[in-house]
Amino acid sequence: MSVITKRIFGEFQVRGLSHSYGGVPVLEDCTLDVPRGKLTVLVGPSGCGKTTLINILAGYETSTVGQVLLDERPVAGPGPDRLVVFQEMALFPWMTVEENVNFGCRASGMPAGEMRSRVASVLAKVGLADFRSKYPSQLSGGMQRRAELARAMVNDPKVMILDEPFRGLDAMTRSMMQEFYVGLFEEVGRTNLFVTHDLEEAVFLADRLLIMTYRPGKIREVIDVDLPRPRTFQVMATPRYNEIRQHALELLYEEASKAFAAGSQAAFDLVDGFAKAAGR
Amino acid sequence: MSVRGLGPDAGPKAGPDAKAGGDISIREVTKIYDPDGIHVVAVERCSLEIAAGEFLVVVGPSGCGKTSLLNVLAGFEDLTDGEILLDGKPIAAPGRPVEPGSDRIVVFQNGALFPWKTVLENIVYGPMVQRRRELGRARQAARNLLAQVGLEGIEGSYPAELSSGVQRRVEILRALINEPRVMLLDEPFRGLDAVAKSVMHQFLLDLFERTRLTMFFITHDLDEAIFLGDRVVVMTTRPCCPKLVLQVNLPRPRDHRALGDTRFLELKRAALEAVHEEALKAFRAGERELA
Repeated sequence: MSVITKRIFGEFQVRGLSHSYGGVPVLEDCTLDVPRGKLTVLVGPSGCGKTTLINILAGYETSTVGQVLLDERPVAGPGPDRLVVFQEMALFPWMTVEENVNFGCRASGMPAGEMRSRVASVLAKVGLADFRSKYPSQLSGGMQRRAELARAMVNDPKVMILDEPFRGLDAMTRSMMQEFYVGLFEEVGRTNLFVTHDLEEAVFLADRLLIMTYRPGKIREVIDVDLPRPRTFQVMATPRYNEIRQHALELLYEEASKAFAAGSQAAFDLVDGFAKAAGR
Repeated sequence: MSVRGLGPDAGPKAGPDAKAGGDISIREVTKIYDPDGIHVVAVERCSLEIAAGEFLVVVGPSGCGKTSLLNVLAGFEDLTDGEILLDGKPIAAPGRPVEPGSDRIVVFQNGALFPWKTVLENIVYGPMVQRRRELGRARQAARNLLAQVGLEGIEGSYPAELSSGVQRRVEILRALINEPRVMLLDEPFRGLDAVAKSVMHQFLLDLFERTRLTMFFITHDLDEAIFLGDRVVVMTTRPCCPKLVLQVNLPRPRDHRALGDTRFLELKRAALEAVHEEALKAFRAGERELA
């Protein structure tokens, strides 16, 4: 992986992006940056349009209003320069770990020798060198997620987009994966866009935290997460971490209130409970 | 509301001095599973004293045996060695038949409400099947409970019509109507987002202030553990026994301001270190097993 230099990492600029499904606006005038070499984390209430935004950045969907630029060029369709790691397991169950990782590489037309050494180094990086001949079903949940990260990393995408990649893992494996992932990021400094609804996870990982509004989604606030790197789990017991988390929670609470105004029963419940708790 | 034993029949007996009991004494408990000769020691010589009206929170790595301990406490499983006393009376000992009782009620982590029953029918289900109360009184009790937590008006709704936060509150009420001395909660707020969780915390704390039931609460969320608990016990990875016991010296009643308290952060730091150490052990052991 020594071929990687910061130069090849990309950056997104999203300007005035709007999108609707059947006349219902999902994103409206959404403007944000995913800067080069930074870990940007997107959080927002359920149904705020996070996944739509990701689909547009990845090129799976197109929008008529606004601009999405990757390194100053408009995004048109999916490409190997942007890889998405999804929340659902996307490994092929009939292929070994190595074959799965190879598969991503093969599409790029790389020479066989280079491909082999690259796959080997990526597998070593995610701690799966000894597991390369196993099938996904023979791995633990944490290993499966690492295999997915390996498959995304092997092509050296300009931007890695991760949509709730640790969802569904048990709490312990999840926190182990967070530490592992943050270590990988810090080592290489790739451009990452990470979507989650777990606030603890968001603050722990992020350089920049983007808080989305309730539908139609746009960026409500950008929080600069100035916690030191390399990050270890201890950071979660620091006053600064607490402060940032609390601030983000308040913003999310306000967005949940808006969802209530829009008639969501879930949000009604939240706001009602919060108001009672706060004695309002 | 100064109701101790918040509930339908909480009448004159309720008051700050009323003693409904709820002392738990876990003595040298060992639980071994032995399916097909594979000897799995889930809990080993675990001792823990829980005072009546204490909010005890248990944290530890996944698969460490916390839930096994809860199952033994609930009477769902027998134990291999040791004994457990509730208010001085044994509720579990080797060779003693397992007997769950309405004195200790379990709230599970997800959706145990009957989807084909209304909220009211769900809540009165326990007392009805146990024929402990006639239907009219049970219904009245359920309505009282709902009103006391501000959920009047949902009696006739089906679980699917409710948000997950309300569903979880109904589950807790369904446990409460049995007037237990102890509530056993196994990650009851797992899967809720940050805002919903904090609403549930406040709900449970209110309930605790009013009822002062003994709480045995399992979680992975350390903020939750410290925010709710009187004591937080960090368990070792399998076999499960207390590794670290933290006294949470934050005043009650608590609200979100407790989260910014320096004592809170000190406790969190200590808990994080201990849990992380055990989690790492568990994680590595898991990977070795697969290699």
